[in-house]
Amino acid sequence: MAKTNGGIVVFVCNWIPAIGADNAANVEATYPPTTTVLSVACTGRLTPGILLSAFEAGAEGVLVVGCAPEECHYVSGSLRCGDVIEETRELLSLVGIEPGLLGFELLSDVDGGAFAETVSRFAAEVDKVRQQIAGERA
Amino acid sequence: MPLLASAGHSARAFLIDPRVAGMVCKGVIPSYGSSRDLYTLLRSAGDRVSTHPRIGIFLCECGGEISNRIDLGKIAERVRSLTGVADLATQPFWCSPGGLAELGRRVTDGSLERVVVAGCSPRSHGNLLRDALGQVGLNRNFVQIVNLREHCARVHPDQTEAATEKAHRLLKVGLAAARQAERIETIEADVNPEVAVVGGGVAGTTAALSLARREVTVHLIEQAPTLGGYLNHLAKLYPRHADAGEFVRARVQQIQKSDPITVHLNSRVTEIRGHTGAFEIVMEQGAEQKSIAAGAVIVATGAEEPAPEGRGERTLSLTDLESRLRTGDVLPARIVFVLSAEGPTPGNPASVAVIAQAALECAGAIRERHGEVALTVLFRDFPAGAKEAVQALAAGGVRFVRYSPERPPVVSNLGVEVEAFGNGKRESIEADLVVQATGLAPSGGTRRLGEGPLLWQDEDGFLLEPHLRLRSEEVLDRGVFVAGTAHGPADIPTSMAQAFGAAAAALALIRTGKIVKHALVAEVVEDLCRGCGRCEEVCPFGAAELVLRENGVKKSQVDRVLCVGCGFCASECISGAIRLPFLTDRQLRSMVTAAALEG
Amino acid sequence: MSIETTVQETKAYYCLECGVCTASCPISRLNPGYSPRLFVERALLEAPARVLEAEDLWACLTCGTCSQRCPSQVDYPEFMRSTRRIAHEAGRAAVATHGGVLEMLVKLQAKNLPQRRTAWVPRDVRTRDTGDVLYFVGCLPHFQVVFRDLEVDSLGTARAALRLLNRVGIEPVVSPDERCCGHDAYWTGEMETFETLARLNVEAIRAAGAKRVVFSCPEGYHTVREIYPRVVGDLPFEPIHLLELLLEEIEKGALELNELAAKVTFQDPCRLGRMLGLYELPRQVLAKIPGLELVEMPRNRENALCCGSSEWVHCSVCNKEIQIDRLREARATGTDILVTACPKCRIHLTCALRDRDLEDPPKLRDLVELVAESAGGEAHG
Repeated sequence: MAKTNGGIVVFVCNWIPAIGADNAANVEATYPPTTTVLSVACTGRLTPGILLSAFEAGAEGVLVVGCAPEECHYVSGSLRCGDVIEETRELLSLVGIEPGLLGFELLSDVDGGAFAETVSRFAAEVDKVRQQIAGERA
Repeated sequence: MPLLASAGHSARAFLIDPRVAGMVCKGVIPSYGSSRDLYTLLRSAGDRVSTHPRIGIFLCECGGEISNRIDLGKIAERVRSLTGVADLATQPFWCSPGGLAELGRRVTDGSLERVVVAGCSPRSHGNLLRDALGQVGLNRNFVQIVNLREHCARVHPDQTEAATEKAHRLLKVGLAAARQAERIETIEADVNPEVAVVGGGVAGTTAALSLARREVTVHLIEQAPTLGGYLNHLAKLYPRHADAGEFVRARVQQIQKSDPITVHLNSRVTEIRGHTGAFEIVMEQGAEQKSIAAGAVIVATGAEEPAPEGRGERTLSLTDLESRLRTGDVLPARIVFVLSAEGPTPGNPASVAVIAQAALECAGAIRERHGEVALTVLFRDFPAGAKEAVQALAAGGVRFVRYSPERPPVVSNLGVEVEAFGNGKRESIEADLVVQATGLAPSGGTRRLGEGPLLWQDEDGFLLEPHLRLRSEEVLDRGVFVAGTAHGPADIPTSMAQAFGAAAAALALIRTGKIVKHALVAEVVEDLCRGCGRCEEVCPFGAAELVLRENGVKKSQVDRVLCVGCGFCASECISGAIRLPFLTDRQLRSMVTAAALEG
Repeated sequence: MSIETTVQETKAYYCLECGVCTASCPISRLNPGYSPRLFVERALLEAPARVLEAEDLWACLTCGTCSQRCPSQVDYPEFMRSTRRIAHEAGRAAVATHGGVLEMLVKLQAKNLPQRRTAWVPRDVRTRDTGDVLYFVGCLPHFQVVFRDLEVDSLGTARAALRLLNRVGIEPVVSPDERCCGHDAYWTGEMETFETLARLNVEAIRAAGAKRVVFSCPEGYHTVREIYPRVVGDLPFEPIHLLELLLEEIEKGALELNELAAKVTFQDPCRLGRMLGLYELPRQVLAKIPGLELVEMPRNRENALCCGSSEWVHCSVCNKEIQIDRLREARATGTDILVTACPKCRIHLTCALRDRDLEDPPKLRDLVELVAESAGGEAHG
């Protein structure tokens, strides 16, 4: 499969992850420039429709970063999102997209390094999966 | 036909069925499904469907921080010609006074309808920019802030080409957002200057008096025939052995003398409804139901000691014993206290501490008034501050035996079997009366109010205030505060401290006089609402509610003051009838499309 | 493509303004503000832009009850579809239900990715990689996930279908590369997506070597049989409905059905009934089940009330009321089982049952599953 020019879409909620993303800059942490961060109030607002639309638009991978359940400002958002992620992964699998290309991480700390690490790790995972698929097709 | 003409239709519209025209004139539009009258639809369609607004793009060099790592000139070239871009300019600091003035001027002179500022994080100058542009009449949601600094320049250093590509992409996302953005208004709601305090115990009376000192009108609501709450069951109060009865009498006097406080006795609160600044407290007074309006509510409905297993002549709770002390009953010769805190909140440190304090006071009272009673106290732990009290009582003849929580004492017909902590020595202590102190559980009132949508319960049933987790300046205090043991096991000083805190918060709220917030809230499109109620089920804040309309149809309704804009309702709604105007699905989708592809 | 051409092709200019369409329309019954007749009139008189902006454009169920009765034979569903296509090209979109997940799944299937959709096939069922007969599964594996909270076993139909085919000696191909037939994309005006899906499906069927393609879904059947030829030309296979095949086998004696005593009523699917004229086919199959008594609802066959599904767009309280109306009508026949023959009917009626506590609601059963139960043994699984 030819390399797409799809990037990685990172959904963050407005709280710990968004602050972490800003803090990443302050601690000189880095992560791949192929990522784009989109902010919503709470990850509980995300639906399978929204997540799938990122893949439909050409994204290589989608990462959702939320707050740890006990930190969620809206009580149950991270838990809701967890269910949404599971359902979306099942659907991705059915239509031939590797479910590991949808990532879900919850942070308890606004540390910038933690955020950058999370994104970088996911980007590396996406690369690995893509190579695996390309290898299988070859 | 002037009416149709004024609706802006072509002459051909005159041929249309007068029945429909009549519906437009009368404004009668039944709320079933796709009920919008065709003509009303035409008028309103323009608001929602994307037109081509004039967009201004303003790139910020950030004093070199951004421009040194991203080729802003290249980006300018690429975005200048995109659809809708009516103006593009670059400056070292848009946030400077000069920059802000220039922004305003460009918006006004260029009749710009949307603005995208690409610079630092929205957390830094977002409000500054939005306020400045608000001055020239631009709605705050028509201003998109693209973060080229924290999200690009600073985190992708030494990668000018890649960073520039990304910056270009971020700008496209901002443009997509700007094109689909909807106007966000400001919500204003009056705040009722009166406060309701539910519960007339330690916390409730403390809060009421604190507010009354500031001349706030307070409604103090108590379900029993008298004030005092749990204190009415206690004999002596820790740590200074104050007499509970005296304490309550003094309190009641203070309250009676206080003009701003209206006391409602024999009044059982069944429901708290409404939103911040406008609550309705529904109460039962005998067979009657009555409502009180208030701008803030303090819930101080307390806790109670649950009855121990096998409660009867030989087994009592600590509270039961205290009541006997108050009434001056004769006590049996041999009493054993079992302080377990194994009850409703097992091992809860606050519970352990409170039980311990109460037990010590009780033991002291027994020593004082019934010196002949043989008293043994079996305990798990005492809080550090109690050491002296324990030593004093021990010196006075009270026997203390510590046990391990893994092997709790066993009550039998003869007394109590206990295994001592440390040496494991087993002993059977004879007792005529065993007092089981297991902890504190939420009272009936606390439980009842906890089931309503405005308050949350922890796993033990004690109350939490929702606003504790919401720190944004956009979100207000919820207006319902909790104080005292309704929060969890607490001693009197703690309850009073909480009450002062709650009173201060309530005061701050009602002094604002008016609630003003940006409508970053959910909105119901009634025509699509099927009345299934899923939104009501998922809303953590009690803001979404199903209401029965006059025509017998159920529709969802969102209280804009209570709504915090989390979006759970919108994500749950099958019909797409609830939407978030400040970030619609459609807007998000177009942003996602712009973000998905590199370059 | 313009509204003008649409009007011509659908003969909308023959409209007599008699209003039979509006009187027949299930949506109009509940919403006096919605009128097919007026919509046609507006298309004839008003500026196209205004017609395209109307939200009512997306509320139509495309059930065809109006066209069925129109004295001028105006093809109203086609008129809607064509107008929607123009609206779509002009950037308009309906409010999708379920957060747009169904729409996204369809679009994702239109990308040229190998699908992974056959894990549901039970181990004991015999299928082949290539063969004469292919069983078209359609969207069932996706519905199974999306509507899990409704507890609808959409794949139940497919499992029963495979077992029945095995029972009559057929080992069908279940293609790993089959995709959604594109019905919803077609009816909401997304022609690019539809055409891509059509081509991919025909290719997958060709690769399987199938000469006959068996459908249990009326929408899939109608779409492939009637619409695909417009996109891909003559089909290199024969589409056939499972019920047609089963009826043949039953009459041949190759499929024996056992006693299944029950009183049932039947929901005619719009695509099988009004759009294909196949009213008697499901009834003939039901009649073959010994002990089964069919009691018709007053509105049956060409007068059957649509289940209120609408290509996963614009679902409002109207749709819900239509479903409740139908469920009540079913119960009023005195039967306690409502038999459906379409996955969408099944899902939508189940949803309505969930949301409204009907006193004494009917039970829903799928026709294919009923036949499988009656066939018993391995057919019942």
